[in-house]
Amino acid sequence: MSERNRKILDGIRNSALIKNPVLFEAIGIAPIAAIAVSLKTAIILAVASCLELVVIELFTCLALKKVKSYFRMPVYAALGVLINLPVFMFFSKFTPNETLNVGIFLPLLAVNSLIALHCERFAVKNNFKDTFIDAISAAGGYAFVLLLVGTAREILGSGTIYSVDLHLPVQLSGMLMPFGGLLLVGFLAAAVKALIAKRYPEEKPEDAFRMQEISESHVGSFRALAQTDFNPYDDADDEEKPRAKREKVKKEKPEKEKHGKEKAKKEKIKKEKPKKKEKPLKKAVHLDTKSEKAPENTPVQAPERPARRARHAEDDYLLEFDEMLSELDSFKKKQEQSNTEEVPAETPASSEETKQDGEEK
Amino acid sequence: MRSEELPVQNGQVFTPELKAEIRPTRKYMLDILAMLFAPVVMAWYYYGSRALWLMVISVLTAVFCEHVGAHLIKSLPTLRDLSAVVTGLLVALCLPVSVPVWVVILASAFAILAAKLPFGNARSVLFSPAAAGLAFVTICFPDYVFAYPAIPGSGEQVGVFGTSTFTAGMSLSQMLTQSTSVGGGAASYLDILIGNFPGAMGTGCVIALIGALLYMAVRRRKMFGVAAAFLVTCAVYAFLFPRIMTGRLESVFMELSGGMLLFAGVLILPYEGLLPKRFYGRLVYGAAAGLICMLFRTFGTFEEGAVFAVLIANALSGACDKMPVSRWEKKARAKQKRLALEEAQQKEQEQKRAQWLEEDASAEAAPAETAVTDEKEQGGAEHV
Amino acid sequence: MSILGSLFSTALFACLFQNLIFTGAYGADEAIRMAAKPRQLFPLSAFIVYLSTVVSLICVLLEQNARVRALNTYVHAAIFVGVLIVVYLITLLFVKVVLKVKKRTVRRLGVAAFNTLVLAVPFINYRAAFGIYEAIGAGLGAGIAFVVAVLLINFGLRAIDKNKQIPEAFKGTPAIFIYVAILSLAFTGIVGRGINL
Repeated sequence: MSERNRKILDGIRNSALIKNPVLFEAIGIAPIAAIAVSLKTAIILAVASCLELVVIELFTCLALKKVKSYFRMPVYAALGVLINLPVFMFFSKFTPNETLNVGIFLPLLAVNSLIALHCERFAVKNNFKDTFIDAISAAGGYAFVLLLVGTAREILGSGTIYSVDLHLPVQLSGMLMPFGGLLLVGFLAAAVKALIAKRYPEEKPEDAFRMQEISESHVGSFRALAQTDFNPYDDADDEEKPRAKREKVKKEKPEKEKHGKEKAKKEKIKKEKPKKKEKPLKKAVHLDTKSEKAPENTPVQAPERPARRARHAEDDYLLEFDEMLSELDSFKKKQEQSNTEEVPAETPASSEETKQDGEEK
Repeated sequence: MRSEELPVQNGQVFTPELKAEIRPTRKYMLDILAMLFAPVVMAWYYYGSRALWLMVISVLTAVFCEHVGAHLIKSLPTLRDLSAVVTGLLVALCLPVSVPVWVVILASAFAILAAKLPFGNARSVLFSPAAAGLAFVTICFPDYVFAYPAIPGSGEQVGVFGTSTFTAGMSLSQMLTQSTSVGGGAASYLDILIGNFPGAMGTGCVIALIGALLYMAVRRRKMFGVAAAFLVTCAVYAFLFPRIMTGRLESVFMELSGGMLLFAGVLILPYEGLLPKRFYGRLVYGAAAGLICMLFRTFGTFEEGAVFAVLIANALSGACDKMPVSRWEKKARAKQKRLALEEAQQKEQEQKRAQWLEEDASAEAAPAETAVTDEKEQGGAEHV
Repeated sequence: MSILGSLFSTALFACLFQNLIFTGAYGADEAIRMAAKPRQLFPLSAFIVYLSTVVSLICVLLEQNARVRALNTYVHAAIFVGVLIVVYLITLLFVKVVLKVKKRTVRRLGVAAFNTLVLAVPFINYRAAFGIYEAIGAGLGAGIAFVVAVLLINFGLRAIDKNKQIPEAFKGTPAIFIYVAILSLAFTGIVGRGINL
């Protein structure tokens, strides 16, 4: 029983805290940043989104697993609208002013990316129980952030709490605007991250938002953009081999990933440099590659690539100073090669050995 | 930088490496402080000790926020690089003297806590902190930030602490929004040039800022390129689309000397950590900032949009780096690379030599190797 | 050419001055997530521009009908979502059957269709009582605003990624949020008091 309980607690902790949908996965920021300006509106939004998330995720888990993914999306939207309706009615009756303030965001919650992403990532792949835990904890995490940010913005921005005036001397009306919300979410994320680092030092919340494409990115040509695979809901994008006819540049990437670590190190040196836009229109390929590039290039790569890269990279090389290191590396290699011939001649011990070897022969 | 990770030598956290890292920033900040000297003096001259008081408060807030904030996020506060001082001064000089003290404190605190500390230190900021602080305060309290007082007369005493009543004056930017011309006559032009006109504390005296521009042209040429591009673009826009009826040249003059434009273009926009690295990139950066500033002025709700233009240009500086490299830059870099390579080669050779000498010394000292060579000598001798 | 004039001016206004993502935070989460995947930018933004324009246009055309105009706000919302779903399904059919595109393009269409930005445009048209050409302009402008926003955030993400000095607590999403916050601060400077719909 304790094992199961621990699993449940782990699941809750994962979805609500370490992979908090707003703070670390950057999902569903729009309502928070734009409209959660007071505690009342935050409560309305929280209730609506929690209800939607839980109901739709459970429904997906039960009924929509067999449906194709592109048909699931409109179902989420339609269900979201259906669920919003009673919430809207309920709140219109009790707090009509606040409902007016929430404005269009209540209907917009139907297409909240929170629902789509959590359903596609969890509900479709797991069983009912895990989905239930995930839904409850993600909804809880989202509601928590909503309420906290709403309260903070209300205190800072209008000087009231739940419409009770606090008589604060200063009211920062900027907090009521979207940038104030984003700022508060950012600081809250930093605070929660520091807390997690203290309590669960082995967890890494920053992994929830994947920036690998940025680290190894270049804007790429339009053709390259059109050829890559794209799975917005999965945690890892599937890498499909693109069907490039003229685009040998794109072919490089999967080939590179197939090769071993020896190439990976050379790739690292390359990837540290800023990448330029590949221009497929430039067909004139200058084959006078720089001699420094030659030892770095692996023979498997297409011949146009180093030339084009060299031409683009030439400009980049001129300005990045740490590419000097690669120059020094190649220079060092050359020196070592020449040294292996020189060293036996210069050191007395080995020079004696060669003398002996010569005498032996 | 985290204080746990820094190598502590002899109990000092400010190791020579760290000091070497901070030194260029410190030099740069000292340059900016030199450029700010004249505006500060003119602000004190026109507005009295309240101006000085506001500046001191702003600097103290910035320093305090940096110190406390850096400790909170467990990084080392590098107050030695004077960046907090400069940020505080820049923020204070762009605000009118009639502004309440807490607005200045707020602007300074926002600049450091929200625009500087989350991104590291002064060398790694992504937005100009002073611009961010000013933008925040402009949006939150536009009534305070744009209420420029009339310059106190020679006999009037301006209360230093607390808010004393200032008579409202009409600044140049307000006149521009209402399409009022300053009126002909050299007297009014001279007034504007020496700053005897309602405006923000440090931005009034045009001559002081032009002096700062010339200083920059001599000492920091990259910054000068950006500032020049900014001013030229603004002038061209003001020439082509004047907001007043009495002539284009007067429009250029009023637009350039009114509001925070000149100050922002000379002192806030060319922040060295954010400049694009290529020459054409810097030109585009300055030009884009100038264009956006004039667009904000024409179509925006506030009368002055220079700080917002600076922020957007800061965001675009990454894109400006994609501009082509100019030829003379290429030559300069090639020469630099050649020199550096030669230096590196020399160092390598010296290192190798030192290594071989060591090997020689160890070879002579070690008995095992000599035993081997002795055997080989015997063996060789036998053969021979 | 007042038609073109109103279209152009509404589009320019929507994409530069009233950039919905920065001044109203509509579609901000999609913008941030898509900015981290720059390779997908072009097809996704093409879809968003297309969808926002078409949905905006159809909703405005529906509004011309007096009966529709008299309905409740909430029913309007349901109608807009319904229109969005129908347009998405039709486009899906067209793209799959006629153009026979790959799975990844279809996934992009799904993300592009159901986000807060595309759904916000008809609401804006409804609140501001735009005509047909202004609605087209607003839709176009919203799409282009999305592209502009994603590009700006992408530059920021690159800078944040290269920046090794960010404190531990701010690495990752906190720095991104603060970056987008300051960017939207800059854009709010034009509008002044933000949009409140």
